[in-house]
Amino acid sequence: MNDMMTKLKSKWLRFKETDGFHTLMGSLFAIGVGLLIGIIIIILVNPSESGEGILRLIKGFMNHPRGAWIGLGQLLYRITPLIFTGLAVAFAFKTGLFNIGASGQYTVGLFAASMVGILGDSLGGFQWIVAVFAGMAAGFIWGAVPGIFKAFFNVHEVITSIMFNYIGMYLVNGLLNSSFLRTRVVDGTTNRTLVVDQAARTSYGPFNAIFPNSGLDISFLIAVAVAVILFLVLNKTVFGRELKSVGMNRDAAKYAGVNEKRSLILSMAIAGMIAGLGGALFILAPSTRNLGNAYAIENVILPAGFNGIPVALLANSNPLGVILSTLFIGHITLGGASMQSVGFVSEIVDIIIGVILYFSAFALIMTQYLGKFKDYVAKRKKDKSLPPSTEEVKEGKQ
Amino acid sequence: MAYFISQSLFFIIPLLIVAIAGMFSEKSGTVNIALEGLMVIGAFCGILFINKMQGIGAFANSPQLLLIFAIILAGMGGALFASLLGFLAINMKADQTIGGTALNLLAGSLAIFLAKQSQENHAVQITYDKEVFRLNSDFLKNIFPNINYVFFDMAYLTTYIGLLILIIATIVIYKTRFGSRLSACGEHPEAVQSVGVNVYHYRWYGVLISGFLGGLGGLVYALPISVSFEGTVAGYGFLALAVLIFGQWKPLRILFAAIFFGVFKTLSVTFFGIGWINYLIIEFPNVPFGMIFRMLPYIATMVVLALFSKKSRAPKASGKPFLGAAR
Amino acid sequence: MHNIIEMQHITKRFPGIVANDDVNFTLRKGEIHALLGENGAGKSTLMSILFGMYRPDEGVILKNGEPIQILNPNDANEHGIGMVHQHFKLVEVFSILDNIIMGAEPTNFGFIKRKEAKENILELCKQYELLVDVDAKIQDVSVGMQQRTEILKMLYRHNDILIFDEPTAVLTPQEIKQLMITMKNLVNEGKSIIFITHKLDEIMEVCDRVTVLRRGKAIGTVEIKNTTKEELSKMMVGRDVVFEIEKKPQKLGDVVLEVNDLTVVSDRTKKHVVDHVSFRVRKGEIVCIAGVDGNGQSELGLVLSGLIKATSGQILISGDDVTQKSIRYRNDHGLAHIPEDRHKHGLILQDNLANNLVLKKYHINPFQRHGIINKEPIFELGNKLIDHYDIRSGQRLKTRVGSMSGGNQQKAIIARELDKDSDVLLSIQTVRGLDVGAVEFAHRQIIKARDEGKAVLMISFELDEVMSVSDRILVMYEGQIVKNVMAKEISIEELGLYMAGVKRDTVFVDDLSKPIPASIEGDQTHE
Repeated sequence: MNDMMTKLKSKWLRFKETDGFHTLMGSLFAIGVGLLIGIIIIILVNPSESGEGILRLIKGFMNHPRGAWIGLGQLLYRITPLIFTGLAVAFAFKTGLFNIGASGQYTVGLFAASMVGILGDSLGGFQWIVAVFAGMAAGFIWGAVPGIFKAFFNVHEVITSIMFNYIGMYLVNGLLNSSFLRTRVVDGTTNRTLVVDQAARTSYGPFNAIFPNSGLDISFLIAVAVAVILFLVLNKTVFGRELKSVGMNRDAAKYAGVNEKRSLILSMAIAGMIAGLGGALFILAPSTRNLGNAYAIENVILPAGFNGIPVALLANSNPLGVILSTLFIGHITLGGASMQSVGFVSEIVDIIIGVILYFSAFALIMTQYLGKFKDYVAKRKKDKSLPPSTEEVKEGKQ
Repeated sequence: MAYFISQSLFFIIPLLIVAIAGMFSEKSGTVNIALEGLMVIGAFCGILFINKMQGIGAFANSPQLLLIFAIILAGMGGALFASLLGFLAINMKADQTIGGTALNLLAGSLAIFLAKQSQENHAVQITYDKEVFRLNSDFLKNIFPNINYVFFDMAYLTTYIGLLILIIATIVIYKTRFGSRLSACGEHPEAVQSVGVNVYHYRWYGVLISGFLGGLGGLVYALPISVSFEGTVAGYGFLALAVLIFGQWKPLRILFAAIFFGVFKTLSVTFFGIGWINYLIIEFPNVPFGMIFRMLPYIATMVVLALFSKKSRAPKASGKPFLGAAR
Repeated sequence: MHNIIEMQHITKRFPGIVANDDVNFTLRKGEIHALLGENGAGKSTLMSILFGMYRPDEGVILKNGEPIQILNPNDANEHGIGMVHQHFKLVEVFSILDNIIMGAEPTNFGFIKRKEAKENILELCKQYELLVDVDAKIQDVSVGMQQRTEILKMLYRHNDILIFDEPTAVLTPQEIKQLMITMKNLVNEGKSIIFITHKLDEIMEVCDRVTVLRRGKAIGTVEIKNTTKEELSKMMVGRDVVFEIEKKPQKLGDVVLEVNDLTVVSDRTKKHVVDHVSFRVRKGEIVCIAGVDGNGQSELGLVLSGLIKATSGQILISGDDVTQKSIRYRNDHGLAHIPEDRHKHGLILQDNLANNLVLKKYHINPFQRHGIINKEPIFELGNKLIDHYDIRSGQRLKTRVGSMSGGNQQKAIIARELDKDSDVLLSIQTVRGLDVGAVEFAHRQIIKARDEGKAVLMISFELDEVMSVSDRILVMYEGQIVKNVMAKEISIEELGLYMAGVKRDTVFVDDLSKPIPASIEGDQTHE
């Protein structure tokens, strides 16, 4: 028993040293401030109902009319796309790239999977897996192009990603409106795509039994698995190390022999693939009562991609952290939805998220100051017997 | 043709204004990806003001005056909002990308939230009558009917304001001491500091001007294109960012870039009206012209950027927090 | 002679260090007074206080006997104090004109009166014999002209007390002579000059008095005519300094690095920055490429390492043509590279020491297996290097490299590159910014590599290093090799002539075909 305690303690102490710990502390600080401001707004807007409002906000998924348990299932179902887009943004960030194009990648992935899911009856039992891969492939391409533009033409990925969001949207909508597809995959009255064939739907797995009719299917598990895989790739593999080095110092990575162009392109492509996977799994989801999901043909960029950005930033682009930040954001979003019936606008939650994000930028600074302070302490710890070299004298002046 | 030009001005002018807003910020050293949010805040402030004033019948006889007040209000709202970015980037020296993203999120949700709070039924849309703002003038009708149509009849005051901003910005940056010092802060702030000029001040000016113009630009964008404001500017702020980069942070090139993009954008909604294109549509019914034209502005921008970005040179110290010398 | 400036009992502390410790310094009107000391002695700090960029913790400053307050550069300027910084504070995209007037622009309701300013500046140019192209952009002019711009900045503001911070670091010997003449002109026109430097020859040549700082303390002030180089250097370092490095005689082996007709054309200026360069380096020799910064050496270093592409020509390592090969290929096939910019290329500052030490090896066994990183061998290697090369850090392998001192960062790079045991060692500006101890260490390591049979190619802008460490010298001027000579067979003065392009030889390197014009001697004083 003592042995285990010492082991745990040393693990805790080691964790405290890591960047992950600092990020967590910073995020908690930002979350605290955000919630505080949200509570203040709630009280100011409608003092009489504020108690109930705050309660509902905190309760989050537990507000579900059929009970907290079902609510949990619904929460996990709702956040699954967000985990994917959050990972898509986070992964690219590790290579120093701002993947603001997750929406476009999500959309084309969704589209590709949807087409296979509706038109691919001849695939029989393979329909689902082919649809999933189609979505991943589409997302891969959609991410690769901005990566190529950055690597070879030196065009900032923010601009190309934004352009590709629009191009993706117009392309998908245009194709769906074409004479060929319109008759086959679109429901004319609702102006949405048809739901995918049964054979193409993701399995509920055990979840329909555990969380009846919450809509949760195994794509949540896939999301968690992808997060873990990305974490391992980034931290344990040579490939991941190269990507991170490009993100930290592109010139030094080049000097070290890393093919930075290849890294930039692959990073964006993989990020796109993950977002595409998210879109695919969304459209392939059986949803509640096996009703399936549909895509509405409007000239509006899907928000799922943009919502991945605060998720990734709050987690400081750590794939495992993304799971946590998505859970949190999903939780309060459900709380916000529930608040509406007592007279509060759901946008309050968006404001809270915005504030949290704003303060997380401060938190990052505090982390850096903390880091610098630790460096300073470490310097003092150095061989104290020797007088400081003139080098250190000069460094101290900096 | 006249109709085409008139319509494209509605796209070009706000792009121009907001890109120049971005220019002031980045030239002084602060990356501003919150242009989208600034536009939303500005549009919200301005349109809410117009909505309320029109509701109580104020300014009924002088709609242009109402517009001017609304524009000033939109600008001030933008400047106030931008000071959040300024504080984060300049005083706290924190990550400007995260800050900008946060502000975009906040702006959208704040605008909708306040709209719902300040209207009956928690309605999101803020409606207004825009027809009163049209210049509706017959100034040159007899001599140059087309020019009259574009610039004096269908136009709004905002068109001229946009051009004025361009001219003033160009003069300020290239001819004034203020502009010279501002630009230097984004290139080599240590050099500026060593001659005794306060870099923090100038960076703040840059951000505040950026906020003012961004907010103003939001109103200029939102007003002519619809009859209500719903809390979004549909990604225009990011397009302005592209125009800024395309224009290499120089006012005249930004104008060119804005025109380039604006023309394509207008084409995407008016192409069926153009004679020979109409002919092509009839000849080839299976070609998805609509989709192609809608994608065209974005594809064209990417092509141009690919060709011209090898030599792209952002202000050297932009995005890097100025640490100042220890004292 | 009266004291125009007196700094009394100046003390300035930074976290963990006392940069100036009760320093007294006086400047007489009309003199050129040198401030001598090693890197980190406190010279720049002291002058930054005088210029208003820092405030002293203790002490007073007097001008003409009256105490004055200097809280910022504006105050300093008001009192007529100006400074030419070591790293120029110039805006690259602005014209020389705009740089000179910045902060003191003549205006009319906010509009800059450029014509008037230009006239005033041209007047100054004539008066002080300083040649500049007023309308050219800084990024397009030579380093010498950039420095003259800095000087004009001071003159434009009617500064009488001029501080020069290490001004000669970037100049040719000829340009340095020109600067000395300029300084004497300035003094004749009534200015007083403080000259920060660590170069003894220059002090002996042009200064009246010198104050020596060491580790933050003022050691003493002497008249130049009463002292010698040896005495000054002893005051500076606190011990006898060996000017010569001991080297065993060369043991030459095969040619390992062969460069044939190598050319690099700049995208931006279309100039041949490396112009048909050919040379050989053999095992067991140290060849140093000398020259003034800006004549193509940096680009030569970058193209040899693979960081930039050659326009034409050949690079061979041990007979293997690597001209088109990737950086990783060169790293793995015989090239070790200590880069010019240690922060840009040499290290990933945000990462820890362990990862930086294994930066060029993590992709090979045993540091990785099937793509998965193997931590144990990395730690083993890292610890070995730390101990063997005495790399000081706060937390050994876990240290964030950005927090290490410059000297130890460079030690880490040297350790990593030498550990590669490559046939060719390319080392550029090896000792920039390092203190005497670290310099000694680096040079010892390089000579050791040479004795072990490696081929060493150095690129250096420090003449002391060039003369003392290398076996053979290649001088580079305007992208071409203009001299190939054994280090022992040339003097510094003659070296300077080649560096400045005043003299050039037809350099034959085995079968080089392109002849270079015969020696051009005579007056070439233009930029």
